[in-house]
Amino acid sequence: MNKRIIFGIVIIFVMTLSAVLAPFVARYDPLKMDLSEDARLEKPSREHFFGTDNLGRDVFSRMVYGARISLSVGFIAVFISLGMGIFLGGISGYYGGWIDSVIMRIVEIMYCFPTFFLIMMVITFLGPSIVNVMIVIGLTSWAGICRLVRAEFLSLRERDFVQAAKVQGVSNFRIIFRHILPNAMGPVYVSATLSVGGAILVESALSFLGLGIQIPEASWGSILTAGKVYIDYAWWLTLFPGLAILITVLSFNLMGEGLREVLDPKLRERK
Amino acid sequence: MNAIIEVTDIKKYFAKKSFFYGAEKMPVKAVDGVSFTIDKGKTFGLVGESGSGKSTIAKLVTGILVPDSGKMSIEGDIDIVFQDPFSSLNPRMTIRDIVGESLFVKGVNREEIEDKVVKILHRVKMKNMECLDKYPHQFSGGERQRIAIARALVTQPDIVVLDEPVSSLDVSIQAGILNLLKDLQEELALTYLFISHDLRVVEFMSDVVGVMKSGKIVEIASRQEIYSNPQNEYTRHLLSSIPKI
Amino acid sequence: MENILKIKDLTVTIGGKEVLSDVDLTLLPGKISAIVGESGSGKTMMSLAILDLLPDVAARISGEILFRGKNIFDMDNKEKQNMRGNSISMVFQEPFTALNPVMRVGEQITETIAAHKIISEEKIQGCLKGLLKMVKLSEDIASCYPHELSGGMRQRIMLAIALSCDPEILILDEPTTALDVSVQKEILDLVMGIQKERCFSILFITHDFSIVNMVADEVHVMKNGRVIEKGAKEIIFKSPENEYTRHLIDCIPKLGDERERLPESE
Repeated sequence: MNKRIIFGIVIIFVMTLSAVLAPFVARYDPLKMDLSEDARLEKPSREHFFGTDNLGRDVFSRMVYGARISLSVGFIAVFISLGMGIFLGGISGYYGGWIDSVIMRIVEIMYCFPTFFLIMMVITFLGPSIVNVMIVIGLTSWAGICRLVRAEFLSLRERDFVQAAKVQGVSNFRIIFRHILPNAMGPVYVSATLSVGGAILVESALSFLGLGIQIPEASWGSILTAGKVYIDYAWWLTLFPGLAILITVLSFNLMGEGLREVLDPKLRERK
Repeated sequence: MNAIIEVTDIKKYFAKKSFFYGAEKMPVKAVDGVSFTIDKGKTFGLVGESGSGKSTIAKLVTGILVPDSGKMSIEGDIDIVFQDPFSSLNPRMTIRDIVGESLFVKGVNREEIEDKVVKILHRVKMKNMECLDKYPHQFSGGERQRIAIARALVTQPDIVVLDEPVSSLDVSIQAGILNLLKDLQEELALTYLFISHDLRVVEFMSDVVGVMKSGKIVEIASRQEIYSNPQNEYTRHLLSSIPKI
Repeated sequence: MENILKIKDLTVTIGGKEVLSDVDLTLLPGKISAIVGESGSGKTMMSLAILDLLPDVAARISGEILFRGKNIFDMDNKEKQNMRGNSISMVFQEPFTALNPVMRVGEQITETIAAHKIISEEKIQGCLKGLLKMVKLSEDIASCYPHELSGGMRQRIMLAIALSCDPEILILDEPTTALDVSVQKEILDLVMGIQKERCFSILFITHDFSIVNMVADEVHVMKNGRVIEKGAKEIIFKSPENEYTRHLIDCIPKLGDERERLPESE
C-alpha cells in the first residue's frame, strides 16, 4: 500500500476520531471561561496542553471541538460539490450537444468569478453561519469536478463496452451509473480528497475574517483569528490552530496524491 | 432466398466541426451508398483497409449510429463482438455481470441468468469455470474474446456482427476463435456480418464477400468469385498485396 | 563469412522474470534475419538489448552482444552513442508516436544528419533530398507535419531517418503492423530494394510468418524468451523441426485454403 495514503489516512482518522469523541478527549468545557488573572493566556502546560486564551478557555479543548466544525465543513462542502459536479459533468459528457454547451458555459462563468470573493459576497447577504458556509463553498466549487467528470465521460462513452451495452438495449441510466461512472471515479476521488483540504482552508479564512463560525463556538480558523491580537506574547493561540489546519490539509493532499498514483494506470506499474 | 438483413443505399456522413461554430467543412463520407443482403445462416465478409467505412457499417447495422439516408431491414435480434477485448469488457464488472447483464435488464430472474451464463460460457469453451467472479484483467486476450462472444450470444440473437474479432490476437489464438465462431454458427444457426482487414481470414470465414473502399462497396460476390476471379481493380490490388505463404 | 553482430548466451531478467533465456543469434553482413514470435515471446526485448536500451535498474543481464567483435556491454557511453546512431539504427512499429508532432518532417530528418556528422547546411539539404528520393517521397513532403501524412508516408520518413547515417545494421521492429496490407507491400518492397542496393544487414522483428517468408534469409523463432528454432528460411518453411514452429505456420489461414477448420494448439 502507498505510504502517503497510509500517512494521510492515519492523521485524518485520528483527527476525525477525536472530533467525534470530543467530550472524552477534551478535559475542559470549551466554552467555560475563567477570567481570573492566573487562568488567562496561560502557557502550554500539563494542565492545558495548548495553553489558555484571553478568556481563560482551554485551547486544546476548543480545538478538539473546533475540529468538528472544520472537518464537517470540509466533508459536507465537498459532498455537495461532488454531487453537483458528477451530475452536471455526467449528463454534459454523456449527452453532449446543447446540454453540454449550456453546462460548459455555466462552468466557464463559475471559473471567471474569483470564488473567494463570491463566497464572501453571498455570506454577507445570507448572514454568517456555519451551515451557510458549507453550502456556499459546496455550490461554488463544483466546476472543477464537473469538467473532470465530463472529460472522463466523453472518452468512456466511446469505449467498446459502452457501445456493447447500448447494442444489448441497456438503458442510458444504467449505462451512466453501472458502466461509465465507476470507471470515471478514479480521478474524481483524487480531486475530491484534494478539495476537502481546500474547503477547510476556505472555512478557516472566512472564520478568520469573521464570516464563518460565530462566537462563542469555535472552528480552527476562528481560534486563529481570536489569537492574532495576542500573537506577540501568546504564540500558542495562533501556532496550534495554524498547525492543525496545515497538518490536516497536508494529510488530505498526501492522500490525494497517493490515490492518484494508485489509481492512475499511467503511473501504475504494469502487471 | 431468405434474406435476414437487407441494407439498401445507406449513407452516413460525419461533419467535421470547424474552429468556431462557423460553416461546416466538407463532411467525411464514411458510408456512401452501401447496399447488401445477408441470407439466413450465412456469413457476409466485409473487407477493406483502414478508413474504408467498414466499422461504421457495423455501428449502423447494430443501431449504435443512425444512417443519414437509406433503408435497413433486419429480421431478428442482433448483437456485436468488437475487435479489442481489452476495451470491450467493463474492467469493473465481474464476468458473471458482464455476460448476464443483457438478461438482467430484460428482467430475467437470478437463477435463470446464472444458469444461462454458465451454459454459454461452457459453449464458448471457457476452460476455467471459476471465472464467474473474476474481472476481465485476470484473463488472456483469447479468453476475453471468448467472454465477449458469450456476452453477445447469451440472449440467443439471430445475427452477430463481428467487427475485427481476431485482429488483436496472436495467430495461434486466432485459429481457436475462428474455429469456435464456425462451430457456433452451425450449432445455433447464426448469421454473421464478419468485418476484417485481413483477406485471408475473410476468405476462411465467409460465404459472400464485399470489398469496401472509401465508403463504397466496390465489389460484392461469392467467396470463390472474389478470390479466384476478382473483377474489380482494387480487389485485385489488395489480393496481390498479401505476402504469400 | 564474418558475422557483424553476434549474440552469445544472452539472458535478461527483469523484475525477477526471465524475459530472454540463453539467446544465441548471428547476423551476417548483407543478410536479412527475422525474429518471429507471438506476444510475450521476448522478440522486442531483443532489439532493446542490442541497442542497450533495457531499463538499467530493473534488468539483470548476462551473456554477450558482440558488435564487430566488441561486447556492447563493455562499451563506454560515447562508443555506445556512436554505435546507436551511426552503425545500428531502428524503425519502430508506430510511426506516429515516434515522430515529433510539432516539427516538420524535413527538419526531423536533417536533425539526425546534423547530430552525427559535422557538415555544411548545403550538404545537409543535399542529403535530405537524397534520402527522400531513396524512400520514394517527393521533396515538398519535407515541409509537412507528421499528422498531414498517411501512415505509410510516416513510415517512409522513419526509414529515411534511420538510414540517414548509413547504418550497418537496421533493426525493424514490426514496421508494418500498423499499416494496411497494400501499404505494407510498398514499404517492404522499398526496404528490400534499398537493402539490396546498399548491402546493410537487417534484423526484422515480426509476429507475421507471411512477412518472414517475403523478406528473410534467416529465421529465428522465439517462444517464452527462447530461440526454439533457427535456420535458413526455405528449411524453416519446408520442414520445420519444432512442433511450435509448424503450428504457427499451419494455423494461418492461407489464400485458396480449402480447410474447414484451422489447427489449434494443445
